[in-house]
Amino acid sequence: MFAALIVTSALLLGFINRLTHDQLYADVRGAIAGDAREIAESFHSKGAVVTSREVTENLRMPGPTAVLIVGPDGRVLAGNIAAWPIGLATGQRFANTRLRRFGHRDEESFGVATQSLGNGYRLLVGRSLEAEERLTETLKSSLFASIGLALVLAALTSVILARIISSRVQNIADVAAAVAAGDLSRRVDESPSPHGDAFDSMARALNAMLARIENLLGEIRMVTDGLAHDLRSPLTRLKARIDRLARGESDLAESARGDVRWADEVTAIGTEADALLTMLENCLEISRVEAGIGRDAFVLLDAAALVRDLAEMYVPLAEETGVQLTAAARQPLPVLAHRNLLSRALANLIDNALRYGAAGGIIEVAAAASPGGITLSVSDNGPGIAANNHGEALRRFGRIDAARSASGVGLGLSLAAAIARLHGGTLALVANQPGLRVVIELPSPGSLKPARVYA
Amino acid sequence: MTRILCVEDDPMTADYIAKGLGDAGFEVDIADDGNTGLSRASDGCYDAIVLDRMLPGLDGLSIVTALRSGGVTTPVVMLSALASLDERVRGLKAGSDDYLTKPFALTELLARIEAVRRRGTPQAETLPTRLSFDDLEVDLLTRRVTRAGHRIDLQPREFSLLEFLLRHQGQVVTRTMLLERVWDYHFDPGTNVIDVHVSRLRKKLDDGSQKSLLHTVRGAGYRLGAY
Repeated sequence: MFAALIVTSALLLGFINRLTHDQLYADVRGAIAGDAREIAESFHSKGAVVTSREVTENLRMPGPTAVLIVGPDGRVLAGNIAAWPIGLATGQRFANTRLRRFGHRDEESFGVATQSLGNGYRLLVGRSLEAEERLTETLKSSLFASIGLALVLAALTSVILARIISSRVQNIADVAAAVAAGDLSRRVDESPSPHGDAFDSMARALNAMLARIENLLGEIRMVTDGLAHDLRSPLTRLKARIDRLARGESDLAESARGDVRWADEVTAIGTEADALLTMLENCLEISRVEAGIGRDAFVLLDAAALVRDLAEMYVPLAEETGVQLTAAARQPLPVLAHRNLLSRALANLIDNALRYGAAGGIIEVAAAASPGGITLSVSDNGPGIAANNHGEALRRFGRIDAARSASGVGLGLSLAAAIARLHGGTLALVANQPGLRVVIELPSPGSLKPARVYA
Repeated sequence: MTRILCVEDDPMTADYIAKGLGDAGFEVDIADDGNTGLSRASDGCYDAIVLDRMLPGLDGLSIVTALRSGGVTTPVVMLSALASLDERVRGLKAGSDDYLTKPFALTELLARIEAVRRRGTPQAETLPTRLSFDDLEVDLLTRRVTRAGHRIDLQPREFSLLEFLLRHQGQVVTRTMLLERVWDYHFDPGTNVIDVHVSRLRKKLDDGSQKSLLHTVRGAGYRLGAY
């Protein structure tokens, strides 16, 4: 880049030099031609003697001119130089030569024109180029100086720019290295101004990506920790039961009702295993839903009918346990949804309400139009969940109390929340005073992007 | 004797299935890879095929597709660890008659095999307008249900439940089958929702009658039968 700069400067310099040179020399040429014409005319009209005298007279005044008239025998008739320069031909329109004028100590650079005056008389007219050459020199040196300065400035600027760029890139590289080394909390420096440059937008994009990665990893860590924790107790119970069977096989067999106890133990083991499988299945389903799987199976359906169907399925069970379950969903509510997943979300909520609602209480499953779309809700009048525990309750494996965590209820609620998000909606816990109201807000079908509708 | 082909590469699972089906009175052949499975299944001498979805060589989906395009109509129950509804739909679209997610209970598999096997028989293919069992009569058009001449009023869902049980009379139907076929839900509600529906239906059917028609099969599901 620097080389290119130098080459361009040199070309520019040459061009300017050439241009001024030509201009200056054109002036000199004009002046010489004028002088020569004047003397030649005088020579032709007044003769050699008069013209010689006039020329001698004119040369008395100091000036930049050099004149020489020589006769056919080479004798000088008039002029301020000693002799016709050797090698200078007659009839030159313009030539550059060095001459020493009378009264001058040194030779000077002259632009000269020569012509024949007839009968062997020859004329040389010249103008000193010293001033022009000095000007050209000055111009040249000032051009060089300015280009030099420009080069220095350019070099300085590029060094500074490189410093700035590399420091910002270095910051990103440092953060990337730190993240790679395991510190996921590191972020690239961002300028506080809203109109940042490309580096700022890159920093923002990188930070958003890092935040997402940290979030996802946190989620994964939480899930694995949660799974590990939640698997430990049922697995321990399972192992204890198996150990007991293995150890106490003879005792059980010897006892009078040995077969029954044996069968009971085995059934209990099966139940534990089923619970474990259900937990894993829920966990996998959450991951699938969060990965967006199922979006291609969205259909336009009536949320009110979906709610009524589910309520109808649960009413007998609710009645059996002395709970009054009602569905409030009358008008058709079109929604773009995955029927099975949305039903599953609501089923989880109803199941939770049946488990944790008040004995002999009331559960209402409702579907209604809302400004942004539709609202589905399941309300109970049980003890509810304290507002400061709502966040924890929605987290996968979130624990709010021993009773709930024991049956892995956190998963049911987080699955419902994940399903709501899959539908572009939200799930919120609201105090029902008393009890809990779980609200799923879904966007109306029109507000969804067509890409998603036909995907 | 009913012959079942089981295409399953995991020896433990294959053994579990073979033993279970053998105890239930089936004759079971095992193929432990896809290509063997396809060549045996193509013989057409089996009454049903239990097919693992993921197999070495040829996978389950390709086998079903190949069988169906080759005109083999033997009922197929596909087994898979892929539980999502989309995978299930793919399995059924390929031509399987049922799709069962691993891990599964043997009773569930038996009930499914029984169901797909009966579905293949000609009399079940014609759609009657009347279904009956013992002294129970159901008119599918007027949706009138009578037992020994007495009218029984059923809710729409109870009617669908009864219809399904009647179509599978004598067979064990599992809770999952009922959820899938009667309610069209492909998830486990985790509670005994279905049990309550069945016991309500049973109460209505048996009201005023000495003989119970709807039986609970312990650890498996339900069966509409004379005993």
